[in-house]
Amino acid sequence: MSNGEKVTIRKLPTGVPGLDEVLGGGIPEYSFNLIAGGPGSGKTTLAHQILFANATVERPALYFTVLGEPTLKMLRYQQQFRFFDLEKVGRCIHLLNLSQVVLEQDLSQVLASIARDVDAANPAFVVVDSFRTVTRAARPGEMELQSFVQRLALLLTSWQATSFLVGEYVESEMRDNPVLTVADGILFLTQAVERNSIVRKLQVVKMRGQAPVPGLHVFRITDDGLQVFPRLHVRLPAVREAKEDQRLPTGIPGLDEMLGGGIPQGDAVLVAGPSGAGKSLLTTQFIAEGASRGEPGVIAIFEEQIGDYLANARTLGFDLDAMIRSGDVRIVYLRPLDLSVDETLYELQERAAAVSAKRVVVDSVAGFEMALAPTFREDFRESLYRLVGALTGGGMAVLLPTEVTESFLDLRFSPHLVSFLADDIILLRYVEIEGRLRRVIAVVKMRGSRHSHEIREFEITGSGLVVGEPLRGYRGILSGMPVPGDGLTQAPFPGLTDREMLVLRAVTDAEEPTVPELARLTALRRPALTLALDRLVALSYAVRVKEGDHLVYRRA
Amino acid sequence: MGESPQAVRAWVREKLIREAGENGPPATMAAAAEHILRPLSAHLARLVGDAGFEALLARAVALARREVPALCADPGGGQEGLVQCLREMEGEHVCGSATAVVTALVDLLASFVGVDLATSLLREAWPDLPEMGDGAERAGDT
Ligand SMILES: Nc1ncnc2c1ncn2[C@@H]1O[C@H](COP(=O)(O)OP(=O)(O)OP(=O)(O)O)[C@@H](O)[C@H]1O
Ligand SMILES: [Mg+2]
Repeated sequence: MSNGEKVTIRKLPTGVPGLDEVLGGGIPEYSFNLIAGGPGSGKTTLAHQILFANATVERPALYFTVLGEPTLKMLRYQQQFRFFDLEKVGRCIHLLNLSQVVLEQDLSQVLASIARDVDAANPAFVVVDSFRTVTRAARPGEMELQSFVQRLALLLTSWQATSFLVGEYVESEMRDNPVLTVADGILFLTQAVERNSIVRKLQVVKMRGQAPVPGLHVFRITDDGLQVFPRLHVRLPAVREAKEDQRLPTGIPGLDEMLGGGIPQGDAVLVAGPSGAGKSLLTTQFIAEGASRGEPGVIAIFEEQIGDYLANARTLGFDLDAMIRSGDVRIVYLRPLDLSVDETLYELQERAAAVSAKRVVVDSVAGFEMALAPTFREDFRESLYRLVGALTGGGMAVLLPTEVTESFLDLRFSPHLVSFLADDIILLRYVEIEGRLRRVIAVVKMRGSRHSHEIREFEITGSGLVVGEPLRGYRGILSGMPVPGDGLTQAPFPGLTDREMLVLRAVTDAEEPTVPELARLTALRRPALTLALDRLVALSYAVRVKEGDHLVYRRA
Repeated sequence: MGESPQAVRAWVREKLIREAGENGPPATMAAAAEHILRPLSAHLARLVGDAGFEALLARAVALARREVPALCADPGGGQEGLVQCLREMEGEHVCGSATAVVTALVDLLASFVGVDLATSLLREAWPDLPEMGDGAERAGDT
């Protein structure tokens, strides 16, 4: 050996879409792996899929079946999958039954029997399905399981076979198991059945020599076998690099003015309002404006049929069909009940990448939640967060129309989540002024940039949303029942207590106040005041800045 | 289950007669049957295990009895048991019984894994097995 050259470990493609990515490139050649999971979790299917993708006449596979599923049944069922190539059975993939040895002899005989077959066939791949039945059938006092596994691993690796032990294990058995220490790679498959949907997940417990993507990855089994939807890494907002402050105009002049030019690129924007307030109109306008500027857009629809959605846009004066035909706009319709966030992500990202989208609309968040299988709904918040994070992380501006009923405080998310999820919040409301129902719009929050605190009236016309002048002379506008007075100080701050509102108002009114100044302005004492300030900072309503040798606060 | 593939039936019959003669004595005919069964049992036992093969054979005998009621009801003992039973039969029934059992076995296999896979599995034991796609129902189809 010269030049200190290191060994290159060849990685074999698994033939399972998405799995190579999760594994960190594929299955390392000559590795000794465990495919573990409960009954029906897809172990056999996974093993077959890998073999059919890799085995050839020159590099054949040995498939040892043991006491579990009878071989003929396995062949009967497995050939239903499209990857199952009848031509390969007996030519590239040799099936061998070990039950006799297992039933009548001990583990050392099982090992000897495997060794004979491996010696004779010189396989590149070996599967033992299911391994657990091999070990379970052994009588006590015979060869120890640990020693059996170690010798088997040694044998198969020395013979340069990449091998898979299929094991029927449940999660609790995955600890203190001798097989686990010996194995180079462990894939753990689970399935949870909830009402009428099955959710399957895969975890790479370990994969020596490479870096798998951590976490549970959703997978499906269809006629094509397994397909894995890799869970994506999402950067946290805290570490999101400062992006250039490029604005994407909404095409609604008054609103762009309120936003300081448009929606910042890479921002997630909650467009909140009651039903019929104009959320979809606003977002459609945003997409249409993008199309006219050569900024491609993607609309993910959950609740309505594509046809309805297009027709709806048409009545509002937008020819989405034409934009779709010209390739500027893509519509993704996602409905199946057992949809998982990773599948959604995958689909959305594919489409978004395909058109190099700059603008994305997920209409709506509630629809997204409903489209998820119940299991996924539990971690809906995290899911939504990851979905949005992945999209905005790619520099897209994401609009999330969200239905809220009465006041903004009813928003289904905790203020904490809203704050983390959305960089910006645009609020649409109906208000009753002098006996007339009017529509108003406000930019409630914009992370890291100045924006208007005005509340403006708007109308829905044949050419979209038209934003008018600021409403002045009223108080409590966003409560829906304004009274004459100064409206500005009543801007809504979701999730804040009265005390926190008081402090925020003081921060807004005073020029970068210090804590003592705020204590004077609010007549609050230290612990209560600092608690309120901490929350305002945590929720991104206020920022704490070091000014000389003391801290001052200003509106975020 | 579909019709027994005629081509296989004819092939089995022809093999038996070629070895034992048209009206050979039961012992000769039984030996010929054994010669057909031996490579198959060895091959299939590797695939499905000895117990698996015995179970298949027992089922094939039961199916064949519908055609040849003279066949022993439950010979047991796998291939050897069957050959023993053939040896003790009336001369005129031996060839028909052996043909019926082997054909039923082939048919049974095809009903589990489909004609294509069954053919390719059997070919490894019997390289000269004829094509049996025609007339046989693809049991694996859904
Ligand atoms: N065409 C298909 N579409 C969707 N799901 C399928 C399809 N075919 C099979 N399945 C599902 O795939 C699973 C079969 O998995 P497989 O037999 O590989 O599991 P296993 O973990 O080996 O199970 P066991 O422990 O019983 O051996 C079953 O749950 C079955 O419902
Ligand atoms: Mg299985």
